[in-house]
Amino acid sequence: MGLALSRLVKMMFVRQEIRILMVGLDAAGKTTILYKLKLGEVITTIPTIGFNVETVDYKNVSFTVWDVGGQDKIRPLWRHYFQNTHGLVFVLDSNDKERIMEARDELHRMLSEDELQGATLLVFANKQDLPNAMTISDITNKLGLHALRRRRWYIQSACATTGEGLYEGLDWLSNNISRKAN
Amino acid sequence: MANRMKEEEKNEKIIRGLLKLPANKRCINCNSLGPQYVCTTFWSFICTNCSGLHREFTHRVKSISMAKFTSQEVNALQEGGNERVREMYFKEWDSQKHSYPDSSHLDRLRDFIKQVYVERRYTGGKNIDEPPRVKGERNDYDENRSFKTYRSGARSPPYNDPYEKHFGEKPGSARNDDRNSHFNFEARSPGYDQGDHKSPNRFEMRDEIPRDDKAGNDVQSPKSYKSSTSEELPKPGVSDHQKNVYISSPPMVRPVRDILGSDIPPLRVGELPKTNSGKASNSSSETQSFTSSKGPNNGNSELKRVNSGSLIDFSADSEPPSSGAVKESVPLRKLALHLLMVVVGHLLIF
Repeated sequence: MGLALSRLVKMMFVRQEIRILMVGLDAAGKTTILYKLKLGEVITTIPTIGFNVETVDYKNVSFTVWDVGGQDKIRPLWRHYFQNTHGLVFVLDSNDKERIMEARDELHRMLSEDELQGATLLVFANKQDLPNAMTISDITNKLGLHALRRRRWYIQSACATTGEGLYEGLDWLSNNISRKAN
Repeated sequence: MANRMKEEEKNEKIIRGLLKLPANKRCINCNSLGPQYVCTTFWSFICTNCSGLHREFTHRVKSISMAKFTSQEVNALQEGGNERVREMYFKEWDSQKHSYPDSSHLDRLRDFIKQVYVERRYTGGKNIDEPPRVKGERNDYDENRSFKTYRSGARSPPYNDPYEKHFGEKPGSARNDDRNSHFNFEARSPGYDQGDHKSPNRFEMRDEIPRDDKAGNDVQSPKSYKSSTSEELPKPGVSDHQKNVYISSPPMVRPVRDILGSDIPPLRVGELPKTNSGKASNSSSETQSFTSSKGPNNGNSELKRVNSGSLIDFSADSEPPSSGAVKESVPLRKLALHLLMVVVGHLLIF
């Protein structure tokens, strides 16, 4: 009973805060996703130098989303954002078959970092609206997601320009990160 | 390692050299000084704004200072460059007759880029060979796009105890979502549906607007909106707003957004019943399905309202409290008090 009551109280007053780091190769659609979530609009982006950060309130969760530029020379800067990251969102251009191995390498390199050991992984397979987009199963295999151990992960097909899949991804993140924290 | 560094340095030097050629000193599209990017689909030098716009057409761009270039890329760039691209794509474009689009007018610039590279309006009728790295797949931008398999997603094996050694062999042993263990990609339709989180059905969706025909007209045919939103979703102000955006934009622009306009609501709405029915007995299903039925455009206020409505089943646990909870706290507190009194009453009886 006491448990139920405390849960009730918690439900009424606690607002969860989740820190999200969003990375991925350049032109994957990170900034478009961020502003689609924040503004509900598709904005014209330019390649991100540095980062964008916004808080996105969804349900009772406040997501602080860091969107970090993905061009290859600035990828080494990603690690400066690792600390205290609850959820890692890896954005992938599903249409970019040429660079999916590059994406896999970057992803696995990141996941091996100590600071990200506790972080939950969400992969957005973005640009699913393009006619030649790889399927989710294909991407899952090519990214080697099944090989991940001790990692809670999820891959969500998405289209940043329509918003398709984005909130489903946030749903998954909030459910899985909260469970872990409790 | 050192070799690679040297090569990179060398490549960068070559590119910096190429930037000094008169044709490469300015952005090929908008003529602004000092291009910072290369469009590796056409091997042209472009400014930052144009690089952003090229990306919308799935053209690949690379920053000169933020990206590494391979030797092949540098070679292609040496053979290409703005002069060469101008010969091909700007053949019938006369700087006396036409004027460069202003780099601050993104809509016009986007329009221009589409005319030049997608419609190839100024190539002089000559069929241009595919530019070096353009694959077929990059150019079918104007095709009807179809959403084939949206409801999809894979996930990690049930992950309860990080130290449980056997979860690879016995997935699902710890939780009830053992459907995860049956992921069998070959056996499923492309983009298999996911195990426990989403609807088990494939979600089919076709772009209803014949893009090419309509592009010149008002792309936002209200009909396509209707078909999508009429059933249950109160149309939020946002879609109107979007319409305004479209109307104000010149014709033949932003194909990406054509799609946006026609697709958002149907996807969301169609999802609602499925999410409800197909969900595993997850206590959070109520709130989730509500929110996922919202277009992402609806804004947070909308979400909150719906959420607080779904608080009725607040006793179901594990769903994090809804954001409407704070506002709703008074009735909730009453309820809690009531519960407490019931319990105390029972205790007294015994």
